[in-house]
Amino acid sequence: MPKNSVFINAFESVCCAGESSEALFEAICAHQSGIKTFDEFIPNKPIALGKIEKSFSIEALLELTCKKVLAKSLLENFESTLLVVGSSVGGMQTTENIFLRDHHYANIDPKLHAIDAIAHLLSQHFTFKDDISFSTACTSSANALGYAHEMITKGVYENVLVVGFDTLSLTTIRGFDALGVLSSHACKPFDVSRDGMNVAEGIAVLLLQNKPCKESIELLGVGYSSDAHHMAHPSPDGAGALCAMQKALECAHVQPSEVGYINAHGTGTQANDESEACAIELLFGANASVSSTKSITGHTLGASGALEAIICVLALQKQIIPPNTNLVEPENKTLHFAHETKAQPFRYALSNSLAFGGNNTALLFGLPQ
Amino acid sequence: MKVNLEILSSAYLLGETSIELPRIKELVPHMMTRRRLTKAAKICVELLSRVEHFEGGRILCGSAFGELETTANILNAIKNEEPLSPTDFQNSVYNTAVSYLSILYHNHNEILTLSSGDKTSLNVLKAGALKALDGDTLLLLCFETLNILGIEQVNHCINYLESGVALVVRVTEAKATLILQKSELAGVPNSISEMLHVAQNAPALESAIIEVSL
Amino acid sequence: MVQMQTLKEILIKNLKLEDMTPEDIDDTMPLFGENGLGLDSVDSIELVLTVDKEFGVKISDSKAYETIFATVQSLLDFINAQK
Repeated sequence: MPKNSVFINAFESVCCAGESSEALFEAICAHQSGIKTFDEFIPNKPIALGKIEKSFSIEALLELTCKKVLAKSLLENFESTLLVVGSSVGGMQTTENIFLRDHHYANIDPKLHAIDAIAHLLSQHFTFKDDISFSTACTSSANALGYAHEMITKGVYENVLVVGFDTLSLTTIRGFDALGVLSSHACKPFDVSRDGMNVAEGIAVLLLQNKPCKESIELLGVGYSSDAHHMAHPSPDGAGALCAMQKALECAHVQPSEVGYINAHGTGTQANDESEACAIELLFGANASVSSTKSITGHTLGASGALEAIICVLALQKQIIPPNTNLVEPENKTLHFAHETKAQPFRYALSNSLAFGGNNTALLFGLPQ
Repeated sequence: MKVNLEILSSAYLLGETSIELPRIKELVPHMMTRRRLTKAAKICVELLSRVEHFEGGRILCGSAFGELETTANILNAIKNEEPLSPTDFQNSVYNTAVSYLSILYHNHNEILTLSSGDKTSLNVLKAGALKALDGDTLLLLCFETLNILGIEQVNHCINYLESGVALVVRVTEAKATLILQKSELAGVPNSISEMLHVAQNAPALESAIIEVSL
Repeated sequence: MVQMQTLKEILIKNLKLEDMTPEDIDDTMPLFGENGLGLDSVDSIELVLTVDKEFGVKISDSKAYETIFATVQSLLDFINAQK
């Protein structure tokens, strides 16, 4: 079967570190974290979160961000476009607000509760050809991108809009706290003194098409794997992450030595960073520059795959390696961590997303062939 | 694009309030793992035991509402200002059930979970058809576990609070022998309906083949 | 004073140790690891919650888990020492 190419032709994002993707990339390069401390989410315990600064309604933010992407594209509308959503909480924030107010479920609209709430709200403002939503915890929007890639490479669609979106919710904040993995300050991915992650919210929207336009970046390969180890802990040797990265490279016929930059999942937890570093070291050694941008954005959970895809796209467009922030003493002594923003020619960027249940997805991006 | 899928094997389970799973101890003898399984995970284990021709490949799963019980436990803990159970939290993600399948059966393959409201089972079929073009045999699953305290406050039309369907599929060039449509059984969740219809009718056919429009 | 039988019953209930009876848990059996009961790190957090909820005893130092949760006997001794 002939395989079409997949181009990322328009995108936009909003998160705690920037109201636009350009602002986000500037913040990453300037080490300006959007993570702040809040004491209203867990009684008697300040925690650091990535909260979008301006208050927003879910529906308005979805509509506005997708409108911006449409305006940046050559499409007049989304009528021939497939919508693929990736989210881990869906409409949970709305459900929490209602339930904690009423103490019963009677006023909860099921259509606005589940993952499908996002596609449902978007359908009030745009007409899409069809829609599908993925929910695999922290790999949700990475899997959405993978599905979009497959729909285009196999010639089913010419245009796919990927929306990665997760809001803050008490469920996820208190849930990660219950697992003992939250930090009270901005996280320090890969650092020996790292002490946890920052839950965050964000929206990242990308338009994928089968034809390039000016400044297109290609989505060249996707790799999936499952750890088969534990619901909440990655396999310590990083075997699952290694497998996903290898598959993404094989899919694109790219060698590890050709990859210039890796945007790691790098959450700042003991378990993730140790096992992921192990996997990256095995496959890449010190060849690629590695950074986690979660010290700037926090962990946007289901949106992280799409948000970090945008960071990789911008890095390739600008030929700039985004640095780590808060990385003083790396625990892994082999990997080549980027400490400062660096202009450097490179061809390929890899993005990792690793999730609960041992779900792993790696995405390979590159300058158009 | 249209893709034809051959249904190599199928199974389904329905319970008005609860699906009985008398074989779960036999299917998951390791108690320390079994105690962590959600009802949805147990339903998927039972479904997997009832299908043939799947030796551990890729899995696609769909559920409109996911792990409602653990979600409700978490919401109630927050409401009552009680500590949250970490087990409940790790078991609240939509991909909980298939992740336990991955752990129990050492399945390291691509395993995806989707959630598209009423269109869930149709989307599982579409995603399955797309991936089946690669030539492998896939397991498609969908489930709903809605039997939580207070569900009657929001549920006004579903008579089967617990449900699950499994289809083992492979791409085929042969003509369709079964039309894709909603199940005729009243009161099943819309989110499992098309896959349920296939599972209900496939066994009676010598060769069950559906045409899926991507 | 909390009794051993009570503690074991609470552990079985809160950790969902299906089909186990207090007689199945040896007082000096390691709680963690494959050579003992087989609890994992998520169970250690559930244990902290259980000890607080059922006995009103808080364990704030995670570094102490290994000692306190070594066996049912060590856990019982710790709880009774705090009460």
